[in-house]
Amino acid sequence: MSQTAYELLALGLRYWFVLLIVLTLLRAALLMRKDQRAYRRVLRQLPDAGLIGELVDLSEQTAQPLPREGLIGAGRNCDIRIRGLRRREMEFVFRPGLGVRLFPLHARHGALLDGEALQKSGAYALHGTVLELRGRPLRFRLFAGLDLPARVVYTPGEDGFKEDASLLRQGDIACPELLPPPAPPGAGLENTWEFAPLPDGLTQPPGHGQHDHPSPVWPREDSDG
Amino acid sequence: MAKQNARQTEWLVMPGVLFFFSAFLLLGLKAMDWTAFALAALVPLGFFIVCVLLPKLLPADRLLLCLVNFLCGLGILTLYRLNPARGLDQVVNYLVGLCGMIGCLLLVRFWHRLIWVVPMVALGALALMALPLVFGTVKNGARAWVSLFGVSFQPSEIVKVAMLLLMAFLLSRRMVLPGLAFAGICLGLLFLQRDLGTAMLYYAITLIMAYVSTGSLSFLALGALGAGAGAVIGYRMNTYVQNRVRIWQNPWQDPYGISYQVVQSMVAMVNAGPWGTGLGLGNAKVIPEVETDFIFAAVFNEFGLVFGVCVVLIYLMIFLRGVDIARRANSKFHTLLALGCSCMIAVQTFVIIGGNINMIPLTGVTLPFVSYGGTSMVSSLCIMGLLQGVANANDRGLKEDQMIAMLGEEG
Repeated sequence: MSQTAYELLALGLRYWFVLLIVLTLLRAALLMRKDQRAYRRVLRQLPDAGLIGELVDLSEQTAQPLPREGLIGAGRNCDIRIRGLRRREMEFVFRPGLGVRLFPLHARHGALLDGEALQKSGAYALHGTVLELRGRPLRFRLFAGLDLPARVVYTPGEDGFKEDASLLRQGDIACPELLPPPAPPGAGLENTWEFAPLPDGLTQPPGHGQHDHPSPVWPREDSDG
Repeated sequence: MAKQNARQTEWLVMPGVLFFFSAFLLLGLKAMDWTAFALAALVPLGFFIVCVLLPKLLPADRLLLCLVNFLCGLGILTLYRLNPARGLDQVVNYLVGLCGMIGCLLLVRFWHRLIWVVPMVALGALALMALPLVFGTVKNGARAWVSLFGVSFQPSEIVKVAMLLLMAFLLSRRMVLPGLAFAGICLGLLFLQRDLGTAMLYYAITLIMAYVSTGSLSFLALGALGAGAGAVIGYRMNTYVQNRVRIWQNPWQDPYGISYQVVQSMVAMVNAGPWGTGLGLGNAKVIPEVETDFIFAAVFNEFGLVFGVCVVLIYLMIFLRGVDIARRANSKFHTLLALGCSCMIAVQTFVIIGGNINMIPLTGVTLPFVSYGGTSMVSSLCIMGLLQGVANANDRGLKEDQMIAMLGEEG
């Protein structure tokens, strides 16, 4: 091809190249927006997406959604925000097949797990486990990991490990079911998939998944009644 | 839904296929170059296979894959135009990088089973990082290259991937001090190699990841102070840093001396105008290191301002997609990993494009996916593999949630 013809062709094709990259960019932007909308739609259908249950404050009979992992404390960046605690009190991580692992962030945490002192190295909470943090009893109500056996408590001086009698029902260990085990007696909560009542004056937004609401405290919605 | 996604991806891929076909065809017509004609068939075909057919075999984020592959293709095209031998080398680098990307995707997928490799990865990364101090060769003032058994590579590029994985792992397990210690040792070794551009990149990513992990503003403030102090010390101790700052302040004071590279880059971009000089008609070859540090100037020169802005927007979109993947992640490890990966690509892009247009002082880092360099291409694609792995984990997490919801309804 002659130099002149090539130059003419290359100069003409400049606009074609720009058009193609603009098209690529526009289509990518559209696809991204479409994907985000579809994701939000799925989250609306799955209000519990990213959650594994809830943490019920037994002293106030309020509950907060429990993500797969996060932080408990009084600070604004905490996933479970409870007044009266330290800014960052404890971290938790859900480990499939094991339960919710708790990591106290301070040496003098004074936390109790089902009445037993929580070790700094961490311990697992299961459905129905009561965590006492600075005198506030908090119960784990899980809808993930319900196939786990009842909580095993170590009692030194006896015959090693034994099952927590308050949570044990005959056959629970032998054949774990995919249904929630019964809540411990006297808690005033029924064995149900439903969440415990929300804090007074707070309403549950339509999609309260971890993805939609990084803040653990739901905003007041006056129009919702 | 999957069929619809695939169709949408095909629509996204088509302009790319047409772009590479017409561009390589044009290059072939210039001097009846049969290699260019072959590439006009192979590059679009490879682009189509990777963007449309690969996600059917291996779950991956199609949008991210398309955008990244478009940039890789653009890199091959520009390099082939500047130096055909290097363009063909880049094809090989891309294929190796693609294998690395798939490997990293699988690594994230099976990470819970591979945690035992963490200490080995940490030790291996530190050993690799120390390698240039022993066997290194000096290139552009930095002892960052190693030539072993006939293969030349830049260890700090490979360690980037390991650092992202390790930092995400350690910070997600509240092991902030070991994470910072690892990053600190890497930074120290980079300073000894005088590879300040990469050191700056490592520092920024460590700071971002540690801040996201701890949420501590005082930590961020301390990090910023440390960066300021490091910049001042670096400026005082190194004459070439002083030269870079001087060039940045006034490139025209010595346009045929120390500022030659930046001035030529700026001239090439100004000559381009909004639509460019035309493919094959540019004069970007006169810029020293045009294939690595100044590839953006070469793209800008031949394709123009509008195209250059679109390239920047593609990088921005990759970053935003990465942040979106991090936001959707179900675990802290995945969040930190995705955020680290997207920030790594974004910061690197900002640093080099900012240097090319003289917005910030020039540092010797490559433009991800586009610049010539085997290690750079492989590490950038591996980082994308990590990001794809997190996207894949998010999809699986969402499916699990759907299953739990279904069980709840049935129960």
